[in-house]
Amino acid sequence: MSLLSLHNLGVRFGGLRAVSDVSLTVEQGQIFGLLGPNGAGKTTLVNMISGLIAPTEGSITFADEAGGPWPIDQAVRRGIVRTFQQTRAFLGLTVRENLRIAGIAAASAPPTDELIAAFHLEPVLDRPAGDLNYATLRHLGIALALSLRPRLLLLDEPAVGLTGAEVDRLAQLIRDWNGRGVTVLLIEHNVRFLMALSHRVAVLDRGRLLFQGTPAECRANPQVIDVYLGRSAEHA
Amino acid sequence: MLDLFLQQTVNGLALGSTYALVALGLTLIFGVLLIPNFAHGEFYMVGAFLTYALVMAGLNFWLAMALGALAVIALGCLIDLVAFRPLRGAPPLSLMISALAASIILQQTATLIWTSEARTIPTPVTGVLRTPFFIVTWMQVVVMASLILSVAAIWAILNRTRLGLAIRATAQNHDAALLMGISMVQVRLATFAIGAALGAIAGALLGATFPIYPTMGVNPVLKAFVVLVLGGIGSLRGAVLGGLFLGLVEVMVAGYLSTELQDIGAFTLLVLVLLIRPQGFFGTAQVER
Repeated sequence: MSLLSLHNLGVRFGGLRAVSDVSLTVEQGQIFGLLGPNGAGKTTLVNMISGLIAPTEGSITFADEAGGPWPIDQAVRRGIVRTFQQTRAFLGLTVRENLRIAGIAAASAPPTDELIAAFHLEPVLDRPAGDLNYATLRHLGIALALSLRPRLLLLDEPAVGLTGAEVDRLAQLIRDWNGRGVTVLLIEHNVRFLMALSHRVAVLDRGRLLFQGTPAECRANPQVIDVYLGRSAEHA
Repeated sequence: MLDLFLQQTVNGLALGSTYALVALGLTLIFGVLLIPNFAHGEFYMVGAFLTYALVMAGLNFWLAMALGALAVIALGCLIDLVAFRPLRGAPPLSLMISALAASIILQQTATLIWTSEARTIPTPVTGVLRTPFFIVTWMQVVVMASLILSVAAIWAILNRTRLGLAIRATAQNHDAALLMGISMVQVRLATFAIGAALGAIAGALLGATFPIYPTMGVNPVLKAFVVLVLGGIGSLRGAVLGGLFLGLVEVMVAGYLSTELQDIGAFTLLVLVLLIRPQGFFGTAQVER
């Protein structure tokens, strides 16, 4: 069953076409990977889906509801939640307070205890988020997104800056929460990490959809190898 | 000599308490919503006049002050709706001009209703408390106690309620708060309500000591901006300590130098702080967001 469908989505910034004519479908329960070189339009696409910027063409359907994308607060209410490359945790509040914020607006209490256990946040609960080390702060960013009980979690380069062991732990966490029913749309430059996690992948190049299929098909696709994997395979 | 110093200290703390009450509301609105609310002085003025009108109609002072504060809360939310909310995302200068416009409209409206004649609210408590070292009027005690109660109430709201957490989260990071599903309508309403109530209470209390007139809010709001700079913009602790400090400086300058130099002392302090520590005593250096 499809959860998210993009229909010819695109956006122009003045004379620049940042994303053009992107149509794809993310199935319920999938981890869907989005690949592409720098400037391909991956973050712009996620910005549109999450309601941060309005598309100039196309639309989205989410959970059988047409008429999207919606403004960011309405998207969150529908269960579309995203993380950022730069974490948006509340740095002056304690970790415990950060995790309580989702409960302010939510109809049901956030799964705070599960998140504390899963992300090993117990030792730092009463510390301001601004005092956390980089990896823990990134974990807190994802935990905050999960505290909103998303149906679709958009992860924008969650592994950037993490060490090998931290990346492995992050992969396990994403699998765990996907196993609990959270559909994931993942943008990541770390090709090995993305390919290992994703059920399906899409590749963007210069704002257009170049490929959509399974990770195995992606690795074998000559066009993808030419524009992206050929370069990144060296450090994948 | 020591007696004079202690007496001036008590007077300074009493005056500073009123500055702190005005500055608390101003810094809350600025810290959370980034609105330089020059109309805050008019919350103070309207609070004083409504208390006056209700006391003249026969109500008890405290009841009149509470009803006045409720009406000013509604006025604060209306000002936000009309003057500030339509300017979301506009440059700070637009917000400042809109605030000044709201301030002038309220002053003129008050002049139409009550004329520019100065009036006084009958003092609800009279008499003085004599100690071996200083004398303090019971009204000064009430003003200082009101500051303590107000600070305690704000602390409890901000740190012990969900709404308070939403307000603090918004002050930290407006966009992230939106992403977490926080209702900006509720946060704005609550912030303006608390700020306006504090302004109204300060106005009523001062109105029981000093004359009230439609432009009475201009000087206190300027002083409150000095307090904000002293204490650090957006810092509640800074608003309280900055207000008390400003009160002390003014009274000391008036007592030991000259009463004419009182305001010069305050604004000289402002310039010095801006030169030496622009983020204030309790603020942190910020980049524009």
